[in-house]
Amino acid sequence: MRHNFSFFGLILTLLCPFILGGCIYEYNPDISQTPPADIAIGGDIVIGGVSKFNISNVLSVPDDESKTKFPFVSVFVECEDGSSLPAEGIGSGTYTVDCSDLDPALSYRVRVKTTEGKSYCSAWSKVSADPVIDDVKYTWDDDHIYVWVDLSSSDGGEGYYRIDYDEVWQYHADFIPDYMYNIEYITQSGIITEKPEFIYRKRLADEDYYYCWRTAESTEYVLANTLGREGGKIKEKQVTSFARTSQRCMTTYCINLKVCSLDWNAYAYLENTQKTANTTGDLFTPVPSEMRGNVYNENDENELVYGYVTTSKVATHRFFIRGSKHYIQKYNPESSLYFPEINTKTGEYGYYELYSKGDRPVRVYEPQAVDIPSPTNTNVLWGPGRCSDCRYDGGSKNKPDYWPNNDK
Amino acid sequence: MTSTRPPAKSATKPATKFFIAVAAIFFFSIGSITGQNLPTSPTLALFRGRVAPVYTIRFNGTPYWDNGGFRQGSVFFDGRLYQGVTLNIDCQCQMLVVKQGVNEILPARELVGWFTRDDKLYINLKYYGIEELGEGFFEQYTDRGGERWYRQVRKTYSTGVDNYNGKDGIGYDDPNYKIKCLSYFKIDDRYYCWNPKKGSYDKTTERKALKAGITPDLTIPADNKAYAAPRQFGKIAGAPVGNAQGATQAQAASPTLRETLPPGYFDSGESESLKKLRENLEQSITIAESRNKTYVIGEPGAQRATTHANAATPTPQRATLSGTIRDIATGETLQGTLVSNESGSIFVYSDKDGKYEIKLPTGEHKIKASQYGKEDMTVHIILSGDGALDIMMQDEIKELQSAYVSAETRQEHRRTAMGVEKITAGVINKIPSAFGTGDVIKAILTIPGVKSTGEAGGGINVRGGSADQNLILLNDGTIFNPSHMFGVMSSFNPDIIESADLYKSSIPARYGGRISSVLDIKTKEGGQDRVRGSLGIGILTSTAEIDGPLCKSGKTTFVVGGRTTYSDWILKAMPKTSGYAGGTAGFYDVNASITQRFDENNKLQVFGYYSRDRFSFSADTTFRYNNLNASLRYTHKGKKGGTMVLSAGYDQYGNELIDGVKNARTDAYTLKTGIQQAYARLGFTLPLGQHSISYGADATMYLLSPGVLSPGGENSTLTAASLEREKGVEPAIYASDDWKIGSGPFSVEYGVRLSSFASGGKFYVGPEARVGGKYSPTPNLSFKAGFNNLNQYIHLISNTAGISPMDSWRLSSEKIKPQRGWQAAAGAYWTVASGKVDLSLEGYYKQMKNYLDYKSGAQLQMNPNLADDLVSTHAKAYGVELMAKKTTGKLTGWVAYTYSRTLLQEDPGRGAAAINGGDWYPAAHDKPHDVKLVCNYAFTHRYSISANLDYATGRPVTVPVGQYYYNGALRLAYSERNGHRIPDYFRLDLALNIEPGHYLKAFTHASATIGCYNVTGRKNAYSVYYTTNGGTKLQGYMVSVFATQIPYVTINLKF
Repeated sequence: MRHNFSFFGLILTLLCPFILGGCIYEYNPDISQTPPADIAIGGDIVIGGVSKFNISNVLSVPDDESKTKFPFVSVFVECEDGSSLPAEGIGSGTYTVDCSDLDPALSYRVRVKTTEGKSYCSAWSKVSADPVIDDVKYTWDDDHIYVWVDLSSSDGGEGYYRIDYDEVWQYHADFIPDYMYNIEYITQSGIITEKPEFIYRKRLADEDYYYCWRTAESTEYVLANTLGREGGKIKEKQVTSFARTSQRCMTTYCINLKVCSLDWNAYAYLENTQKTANTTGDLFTPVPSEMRGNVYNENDENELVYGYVTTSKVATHRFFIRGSKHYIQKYNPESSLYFPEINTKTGEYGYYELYSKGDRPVRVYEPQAVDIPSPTNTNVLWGPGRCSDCRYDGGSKNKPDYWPNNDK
Repeated sequence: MTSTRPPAKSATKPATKFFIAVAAIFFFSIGSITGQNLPTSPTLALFRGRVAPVYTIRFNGTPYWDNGGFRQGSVFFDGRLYQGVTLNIDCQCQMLVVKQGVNEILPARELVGWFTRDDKLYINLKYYGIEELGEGFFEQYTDRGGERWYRQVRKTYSTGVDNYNGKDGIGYDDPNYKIKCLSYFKIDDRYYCWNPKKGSYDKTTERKALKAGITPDLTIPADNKAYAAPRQFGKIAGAPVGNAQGATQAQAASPTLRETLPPGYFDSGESESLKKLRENLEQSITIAESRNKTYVIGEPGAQRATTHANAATPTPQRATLSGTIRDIATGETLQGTLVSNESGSIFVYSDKDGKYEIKLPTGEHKIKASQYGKEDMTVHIILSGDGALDIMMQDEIKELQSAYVSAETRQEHRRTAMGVEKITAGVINKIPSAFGTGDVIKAILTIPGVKSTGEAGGGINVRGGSADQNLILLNDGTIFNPSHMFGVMSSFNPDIIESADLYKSSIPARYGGRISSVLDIKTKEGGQDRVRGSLGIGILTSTAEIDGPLCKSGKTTFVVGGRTTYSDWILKAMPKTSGYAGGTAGFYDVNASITQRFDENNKLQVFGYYSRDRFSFSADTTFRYNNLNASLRYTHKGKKGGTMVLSAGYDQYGNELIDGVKNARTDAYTLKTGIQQAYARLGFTLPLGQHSISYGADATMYLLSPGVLSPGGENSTLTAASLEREKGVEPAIYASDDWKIGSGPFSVEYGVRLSSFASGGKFYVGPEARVGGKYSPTPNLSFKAGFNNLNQYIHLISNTAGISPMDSWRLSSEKIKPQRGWQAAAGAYWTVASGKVDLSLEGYYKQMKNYLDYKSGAQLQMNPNLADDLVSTHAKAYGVELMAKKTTGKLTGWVAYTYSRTLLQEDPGRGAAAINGGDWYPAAHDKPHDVKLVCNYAFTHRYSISANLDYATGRPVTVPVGQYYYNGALRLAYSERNGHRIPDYFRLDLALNIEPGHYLKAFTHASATIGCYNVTGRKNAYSVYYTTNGGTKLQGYMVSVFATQIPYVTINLKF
């Protein structure tokens, strides 16, 4: 044998960088085709609760700027007994109506009337068996926290469910500042000049920006069914997960689950819609295709309308994860602090510039018996605004009334 | 048997041997170089005897000395020595028979002094004045005491019904003939007889000798018992070494050479390369000889009689010339050789046994034989009546050994069938492929009319058919998933492949069960002479193969091969953006076969194949699948040229999806599907004059497991479930005829196949027709047309673009009807540039019924009501394929262009809910324009470069054409099915092939391929997909399997 295998190893090593080319690229061709439908109508007639519907124009790809996202329409919930409830638009194509008093034994549908005189209706449907949330729990691993739900049907039969949820979580800033930057200045000939004696002031009592609450709504529903499940019960269906570095688990986290029961057709439609909107793109992904929903043009049944309207009951469950034991702080807050560089000779301190870009004083590095630090006190640590003000991270001071602690 | 060699041989010094060898080569070389018109020299008078008799009766035995056939030897004839002569001994007429290339000649016996055959020496004793033993040739035997004896075999044949030859009564298989023909000798009142078991002479009694027919004539006087070769040769031989021309010179230079004519002299002292060279030179001389001879065919008397008999008619007389075309080096018959008259107006092709039969006007003709890879052979004949003329052909000049395209030239003119493509192992290994691994499927994809859905699209689409409509056979066993590594490479180890035949139009009647094509892959058989092996090392896979005889006789041979991959490291090293980071992939396959040749007419082959794949794109979803094949094939060749093939086997394919087990999810599961089949096939092929009749029957039993779901791990709360197994049986009978109508330009093939299928109380019958015809007005121009219809009773359930490991098979049932299809095709074939370039134009139109597609949102796994989610469609496919193929010279290859369409339409019944509203829509593999260029340029015997260019229209896909908001999240509105196309595909591959050096005595021979796949680095799309990024923004992505240049080095070691 005239060849040396170590030589081949060298070749392989050299070839590696060439082999490892990427395989998935962004691809946005100009698809100039009129969408096959004009309107999408979807939502739930929630018996015993607030029904919500989404009405949207179907836009071309890429966006057709001349067309509004949401049409101006009138929405009604109609009952088979001839009664009807108007829905109220709350913006972004969303319409709600209180259906607390509807009889679950009757069939309902939605009618949408456009300004062009078109009238769209969903198919008549009855509520499915009540969903039952048997349990909600969470688990964690090194990186994530997972929220799980156990579901079953009230009648013990087959159940198809869509799970939506909204989240609220409490988090906090890194520091409670001792001093605040005092925004008082004079303008001389158009030049902002800070008053050295008023650079800092003490933080007032109502200036507590340490705790905040933040909310989010699920944009992706979760689907589950009892097919093939022992006893017709769904065990540990994952609802959501988030990283342990997320502010969700910094203090207290709350998830409010809303489970509505579906019939098979609605479930299949939503499952297909979900798949086509979030294909993984691997080699064995089924070819996407459109399903027809249950909404139609009353005057032209051949018109394609996207969307599905269900009639259901909704089970809700609020679940808390308390404490910060799972939280992994991904950064060291102290490392964000710094001492401003003050040019004492010129008197141009530059605090305002720091303030303008969002930074704030945090504390005196070495606590000294001073009420107000002097502007020349170089021991005052500054940091990004989020270090001392939780509102910088998107939250607010709006604490839900059901919140299970006394933090403010 | 070195003892048969004259003593003087051992005394020859090595240096002398070398000198003699070089001298011989020199003289042969001169003969070759000057031998363009060598021939009629009296020095080659050996070949000027009369033509050997043609034994037209059906022999049960052989008229020759033994069953060894023609062998190489030397002849001392008319005072001159001829070496490297192909000869035999006709024991009926006691004549030496020499092959002169195109004919068998009987040199005048009175001029033959002696000759060697293998390592045995035969002497014409009468030539040396010893007449006691009669006419003929005697084998010289030297006993342990150094004394020489002679024996002779005489044979007669009879046609009596009461002899030993059975009721047919013709032939030589009289079990006693050996005893009768053995010579008994009496020496000093002692009797000796030949003992074939011991290989020596035994003493015997007078009674036995007399009983055996010994006569006083056979008594050898004691003082004359040893016709010792040295003495006799010294007196009579004058045997020179070298060719005839050089004989006199050699004799004069070295008188001692007269005594040193060691049979097999060159075998013992000559190097392999010199031997090969000498053989080539000898063949050249032989061929040159026959080119310059005029052969008289037919009995002149008969000719006169015929002429006289037809004197009253003005029409010219015709006679039939028949014979066999053989390779002069190997003796193998050559199928498909064009035999024509000088103008080419009358021509035929040799059949699979190399036999031809051409009717010509009596008189003088120049008969021309043409065969790919062989030098054209022209023979001058005078045809007086019906007669035989065997034609020997030799390889073309060596430059052509590296030709890219295998023996395909002119094939279209020879066979009636159209749309048949053959790819051999040599071609497979030279076509550049990803990671440098030779690949059958990738090679098949270079043929016009064959497409795939993408680089990683498992399976092939032939003339508009779907991937499941191809019958892929590996040694008769069905391969249900021909892909490794999610389609990157195929399931077939290139090291064991002998050839792959693709039938894309004229599908022989013996095949059935799929409506699109048949890919019949045969593996090689083990070598009979010695153990060989190969080891291939690539960047992704390694292969190993070993084959050889299991016994000394070489009748039992084996082949064992295997292949594995080490691809995990590549996937793990992929960047996160690749989508494959963290994935794993691997496979292996093994194959083994044993071939038992009972005799030259009976052969049994046992074959086994197993492959296993596993891969995962994400951390908690794993795919696995395996192929298993076991087959047994018995082949019998009949005495009249017929063939019987009996095969049986078992095939199995299973796949498995494991999801959620690693994370111990409560919905973790393992889902398995599988298909098993057992089959038996019996087929006969019988040549009857101008007809080749094939008939037979086969039956396949299916057992399908559509789905078995089991909980994955302890935490899973899923309950086990399984779908009912499906069973079915598919028997079929068939008959067909390939009829070459006279020696004219027409030939037809026609056949019927009656397939049927029974499953679950449902019974389907599917009569199928196979019709095709060929019209060849000239040897270089043919027109063909054909029609066939087929039925398919099993279906691959898939809603992915290519074959996916989770696709399952289903049988036809009440709701799932058998797929039925027919194809009509026509083509024109023109060979130009002196036979170097084949041009072809083929067009086809195909229709298919009950072609399965799926409803939107169909649930294909574990669906007991699967049929409700499927829709039945009908399809039409049509196209035109143009190809130019250069088959000889340094540059070989082909360029092809195909325009084709494949369109589907859902069957009526669902109204507006039908796919695309019931309109026609393109199939996923509908790629109208397709250009392929495959070529190889051989600089030398060792170095060549290969190029492969592939352009195709992008395949159809379904993409979002609209977007809307639903529940606060962005959703997508998709186009009609397959309403758009991905970007066009373009790829160029280059490779440098380095063949082994000419170190014939080296133990190992290394070849290497250095290449680059996708030289331009084009990011060809396999698919496109869209997401809404959590319902916020529409974003499209393109999946490109090989998005960059892939350089590779593959090393193959052979020993």
